[in-house]
Amino acid sequence: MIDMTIYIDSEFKCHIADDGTMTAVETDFFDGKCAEFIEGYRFIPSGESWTDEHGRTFSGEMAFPWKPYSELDAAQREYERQLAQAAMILLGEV
Amino acid sequence: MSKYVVDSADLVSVAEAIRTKGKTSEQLVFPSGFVSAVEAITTGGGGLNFTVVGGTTEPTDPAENTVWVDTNTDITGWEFGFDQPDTSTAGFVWIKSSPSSPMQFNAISENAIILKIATAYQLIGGTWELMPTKVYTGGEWLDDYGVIYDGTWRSPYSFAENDLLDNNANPIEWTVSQSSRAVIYNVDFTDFDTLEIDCEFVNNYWTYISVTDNAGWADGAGSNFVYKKLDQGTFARQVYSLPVTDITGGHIIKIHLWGTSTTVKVYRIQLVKNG
Repeated sequence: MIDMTIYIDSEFKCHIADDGTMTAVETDFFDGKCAEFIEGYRFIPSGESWTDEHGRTFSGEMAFPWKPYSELDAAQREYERQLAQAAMILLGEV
Repeated sequence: MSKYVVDSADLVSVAEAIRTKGKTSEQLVFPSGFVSAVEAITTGGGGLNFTVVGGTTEPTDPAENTVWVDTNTDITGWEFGFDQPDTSTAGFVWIKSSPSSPMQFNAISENAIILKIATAYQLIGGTWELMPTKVYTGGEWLDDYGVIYDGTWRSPYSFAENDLLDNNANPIEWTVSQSSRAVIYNVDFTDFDTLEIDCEFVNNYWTYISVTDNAGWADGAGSNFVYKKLDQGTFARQVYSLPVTDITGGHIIKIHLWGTSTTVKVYRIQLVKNG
């Protein structure tokens, strides 16, 4: 697993680019994941916590989707399909 | 039979009263129509049709719709609702409602008010403590909705892939000298919002609590849908909550540890549906 830098906003939602207000985080959780997958997650670093609209509090380190995982999984599969397709083209397979 | 003269205005006012109470706008013919309309007026739901009891022994020969809160603390009052009651009364019980629990019953004797229960909490020492709860209805006991383990495993669940622990123990405890995992297979997360694991760790070095499809030794977070990583150290008994609202279908709950002398005790594992 390879660490990568992602960015979290004030609601701990993940982003692949910083808009100037976000916090950079190093994590291997998203190794190999596409942007749409990453940006469907929240990441709470160790020592921090987040409280949702129901009053539930969750403490880091923690990662969990805030969009239906089935949608994120579909996006990731399509991403991987496209990567495989591109690789085959490079190899002259198609 | 005697005969009486009645002012038409008086008849109209009686008819209006009957129409209002009967929630109808139909013309009423005196007297038969008045009689029929009065007889058609439905009353409220009748009396309450359930009882809330405490104690640590499951009631024998319970009445229909008995809500049994397994507690040895006197119940000083109770409230059904989605939200935690605003009270400081010691011993008060909050019977938490759920929009989808199979633990449900009709709370009134006529017509219906269907109460669906997620679980119950009791205010003890200023803390809302989770209390095992059952409902006796339809001739059988219905169990806590979403409970996987609370000293007793709910069928068909148990820990697998771990020879260090005893699934019949209460709490379930094991000590890790290298690496261990404890997995619960085929847990359906559909309709639930939070996974709660009530446990404690002594001398934790590396632990992931996760929801995953990978029951194996896969390192790192990326093999999981949801994970909580514990810091190093010793942690008193507490509830670790993982959000699972956006996870549906059957998956695995995994507690994956690595350490030279880490002890974990598990008291309760439960899926919770928020109102």
